[in-house]
Amino acid sequence: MDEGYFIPYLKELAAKYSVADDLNVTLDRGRIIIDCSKGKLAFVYDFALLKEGREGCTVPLLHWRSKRRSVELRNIVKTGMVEKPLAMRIHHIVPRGEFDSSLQDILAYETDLAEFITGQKVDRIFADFSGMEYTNCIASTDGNVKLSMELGFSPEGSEPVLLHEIVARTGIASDVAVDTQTMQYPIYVFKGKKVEHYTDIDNELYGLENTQADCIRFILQVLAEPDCIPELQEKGEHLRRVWEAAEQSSRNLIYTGVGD
Amino acid sequence: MKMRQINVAIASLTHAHVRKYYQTLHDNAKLNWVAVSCSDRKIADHFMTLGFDVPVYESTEEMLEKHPEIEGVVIASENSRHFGDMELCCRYHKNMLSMKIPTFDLEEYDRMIQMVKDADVICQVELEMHYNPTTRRALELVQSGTIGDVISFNATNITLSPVWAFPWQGVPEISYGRRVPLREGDHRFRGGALSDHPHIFDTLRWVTGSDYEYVFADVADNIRDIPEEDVLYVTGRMKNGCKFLLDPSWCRHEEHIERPGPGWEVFPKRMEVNYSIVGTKGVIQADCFGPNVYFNGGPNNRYTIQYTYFDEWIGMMDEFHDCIVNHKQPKINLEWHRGTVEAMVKCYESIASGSPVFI
Repeated sequence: MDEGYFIPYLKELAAKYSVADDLNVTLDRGRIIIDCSKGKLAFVYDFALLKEGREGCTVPLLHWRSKRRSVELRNIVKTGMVEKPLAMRIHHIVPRGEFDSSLQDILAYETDLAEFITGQKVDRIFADFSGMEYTNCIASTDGNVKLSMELGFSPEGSEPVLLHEIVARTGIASDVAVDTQTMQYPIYVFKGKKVEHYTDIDNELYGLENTQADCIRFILQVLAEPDCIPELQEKGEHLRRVWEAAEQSSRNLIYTGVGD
Repeated sequence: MKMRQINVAIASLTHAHVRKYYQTLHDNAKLNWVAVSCSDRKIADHFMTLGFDVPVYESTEEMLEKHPEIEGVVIASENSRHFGDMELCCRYHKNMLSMKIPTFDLEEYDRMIQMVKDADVICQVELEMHYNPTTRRALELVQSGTIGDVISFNATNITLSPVWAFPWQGVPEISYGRRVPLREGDHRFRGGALSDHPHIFDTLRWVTGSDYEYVFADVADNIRDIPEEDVLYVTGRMKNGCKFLLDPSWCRHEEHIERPGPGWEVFPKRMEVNYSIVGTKGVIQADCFGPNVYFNGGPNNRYTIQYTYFDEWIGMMDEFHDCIVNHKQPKINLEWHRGTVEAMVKCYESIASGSPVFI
């Protein structure tokens, strides 16, 4: 986490949008602890920590929900631009990092994102792990949307392989352009063998790495609407059960129900 | 040395891939295109408008009787007719190139193998992705150890549905060979998207050098009002431990037109074969049909991909020629391909049972 940018930006926007006063921010391993006029909250993004005891009020940090592309994919489904989602193809193969430190983090990310976009809940999963490095999953929601998930880690420095494609009865929605294989960037710099790219898409949080910017947006939203906290906590518990069901499925090779 | 030309015919013009052969048979000097057979008057009439100077016969037997010089027959009929067509070709001692699914009935498949052996003829199966340069490169990269050991081979073979242009693919008895419900309580039957997409099931075996240990498949609700599956996912493990996740869906939307041509696509890219191969030292992402060129314009003014290469049939027909001239079985022969078809049948069984099926 980039403390030099993250904490000042979070405080600045909290004040600007009047979401909370007297904001104190502590960056802990896998958690961001906020102490403010609305209480003490621990936003957790290392999902293995969710089963541990609570400090103040533990909230899963579902930062992907604040990504602009996630929001727009959700809107496309919600407003019926594509009607009746049937399936979703998900690729998430990335180098290990602060926000992708374990397969559990990646499964939580992709399960919740699929649920966020489709408005449904995963109730069954089939998984076959290759250690803690990689897993394929097929999952099904309570509305019978099928998810195909390729989740795992690539060597350090690799470009991320990310895809979210919703197959609906009336059309397709995706965050990867047609006839391309990877995410595109807003800026490329070509100079010799090395290609540099820049990812600036948020002017208000200019210079901040995208996922950290998403974290700030998510935290601000929760502070602005703290009534959503119990629902988020329930979601965290659900994501933990999905992980347990995936582990059980991989052990027994059974399409395993999520014990909500 | 003068190249030996072989005499080739097409039996039936009803398979979706048959139009891919027209140009190759016309252009390749190794092949002398002798005749075609087609019992469907409408399809035959359309063929005759295409300008190929080739006689059309109403029945394959009549064609074989009239042209004893035929050495190789491209069997381009519907799946349910393949056995009969092969039986006929064996009776006339003709070498054959079968469409991608000889049959889903494994007992019938075994009889095909025996029939071909007894007649001592060549039988190649049309799995054209073997002659795709991207597939070839991906295979070389994997086998040379570029990404270390393969952890998972993931592939898509996703297309629009051909059922409006090729109605037999929407009829379970013709596409799958018989009417088998997908699972209890489901109104759909086997014979849809899965039956149309054997390529990635085959490529997986080639790339990993292994065979299927188990498959697990699940099917989504349909995009289309057709009596067969159109969106499904398959996962599982090979005997060497390599995992896989395959998408053989008809998940690209299409206009319901009678003949493939401009304006078929609703989604800009009507067909994709992509690989995502995850290894211990890296990941390969490969698109077998891209990049391309793009336009919007007629007939529906939609943003559309214009494909820039479909050369697979050239290499495949070169191999067919070579196998006939040298009387040797091709790499994709009936016996090899049986393992692929069996895995596909097991996917249907997995859909029916809701459990993985070991092979």
